[in-house]
Amino acid sequence: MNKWIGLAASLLGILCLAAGLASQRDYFELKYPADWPEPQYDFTQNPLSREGVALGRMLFYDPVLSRDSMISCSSCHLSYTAFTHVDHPLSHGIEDRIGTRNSPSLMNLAWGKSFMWDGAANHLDMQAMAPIAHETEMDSDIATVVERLQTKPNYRQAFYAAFDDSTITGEHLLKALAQFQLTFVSANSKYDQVKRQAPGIAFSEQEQKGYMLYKSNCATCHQEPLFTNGDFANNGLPMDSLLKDHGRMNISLDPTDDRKFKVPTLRNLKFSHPYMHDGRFEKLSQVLNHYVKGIEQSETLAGELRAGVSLTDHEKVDLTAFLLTLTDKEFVFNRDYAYPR
Amino acid sequence: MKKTLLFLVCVGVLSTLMGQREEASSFTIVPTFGGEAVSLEQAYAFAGDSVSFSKLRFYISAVSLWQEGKEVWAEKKSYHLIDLAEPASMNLALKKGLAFDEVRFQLGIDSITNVSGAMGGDLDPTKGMYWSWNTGYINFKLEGKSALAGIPNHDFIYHLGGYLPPYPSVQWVKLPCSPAKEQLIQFDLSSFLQAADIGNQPRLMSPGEPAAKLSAIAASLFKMIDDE
Repeated sequence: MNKWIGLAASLLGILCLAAGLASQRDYFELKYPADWPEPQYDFTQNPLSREGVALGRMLFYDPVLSRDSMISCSSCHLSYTAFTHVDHPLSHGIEDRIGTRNSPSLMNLAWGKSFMWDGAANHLDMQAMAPIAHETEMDSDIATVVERLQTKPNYRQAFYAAFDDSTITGEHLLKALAQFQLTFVSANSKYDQVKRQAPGIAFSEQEQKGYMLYKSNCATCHQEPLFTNGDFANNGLPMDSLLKDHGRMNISLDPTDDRKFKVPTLRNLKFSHPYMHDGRFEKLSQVLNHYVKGIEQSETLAGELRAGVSLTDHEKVDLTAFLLTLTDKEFVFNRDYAYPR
Repeated sequence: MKKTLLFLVCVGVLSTLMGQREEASSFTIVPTFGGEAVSLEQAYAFAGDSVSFSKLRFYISAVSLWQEGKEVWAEKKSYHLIDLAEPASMNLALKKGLAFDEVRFQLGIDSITNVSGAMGGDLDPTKGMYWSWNTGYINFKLEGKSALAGIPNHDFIYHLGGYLPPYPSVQWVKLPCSPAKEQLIQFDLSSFLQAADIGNQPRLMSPGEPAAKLSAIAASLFKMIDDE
């Protein structure tokens, strides 16, 4: 009798240990400046863990997500250029197929209300479905990706470490990618250091003037501290005659959304050229010139822009100096975001 | 002490087993065409020619039982992918031992679930019932062939979804019924095809007014089959 009780007790002990080990996940909370708003993302549904983030990072850099195993997320979203890619007005994907939009930079996604230029993704988790399935991007589908990953022992292990389940599901794939991307917080630019009164850091006179110009001309849509209000706006770009992109209206089916696109962040714009949803402006000076001389009036034009924007050449220089204080070198050179070694 | 423990364990095990042996009442969805139960890839007479179905999949969610206008049971985590290619999925088990005169469910997935991120089980996006280009669930899929659908392949494709106003397509279905071990719910594909108007609209694969309208019609086509 004692032998059996001993055996049962040992089994129970082992089970408890195993259960304990399984839940030994290294959870952590996202860090961000105290004066920032609360994130939009519901972390209770997908709490951050080192294991989840590591898995997301593996996936982000793995071209297995694409049909021909050549295109990964990083093909269009490079950490060194604020998670976009430069020198491509319209991004290209599998077999050099050209898409219809410029890849947006990725940062501070936990505060996003919707994702992609037209807000097609209503939740960060689901955004990855779009490039995976799009025929000019990865031309695959999530079921195929899950099947492929299931054959790889290193992934089965990584999924187990992150989710207690070595059977890979679409849900866990998407949540892991989301976890990695949620860690892209850019909050240490010169502007941020000035804001938190870091010792020895101050705007130059030019940057300070530029800051005032930003506040009176740009701040409603490109609102501090994220430098976007997360909404859609028509900023007066003439419609491209080939692309004929109606922006947000494609998703909302609401005519008052015609030619409105997501307000992008101004952070790190030193690295995220070319600019606008179709990358039509290679240089920042072209962007400022558009606002000063190039706005096309239409019914859905943002109210703030109807009267035009006036900036002298000197003011454009000051404004540019301020915008460059949004450059966060620590963000773009962060090794935790780069290719996992 | 040891004997008491053993006794308690046995009681625990037995009562669990007994709980499982008690059968839940259940509903089986029976899609029909021209009065007969539909099988996939089978030809049925239609519009002077024939029609066949290659896919019928839809979500049923928020299942609840009502008695005299009051809810007596609401299923937790109530999401079911009904798939004609998976016979086991056509049957939904429900709680037994309740008096009820009405069953209610939604055809499709509610808007809150649609904006809540990645989910698992029947809601896993690998199930192929999720739009990648405009995130949200596809509530209902019907695909097949009919000469009416035109060249090149005579394919008709109806993917009904969308949760944003003003054209949300998730629909309530309310059916009067009485407790019995198994009940049959008919879904009439003949009426659906007539409403879909294959000749003029062989493909519908985005949210919007046509999808919302057709979804409302689809919801109205669920009927309890009286087994007298």
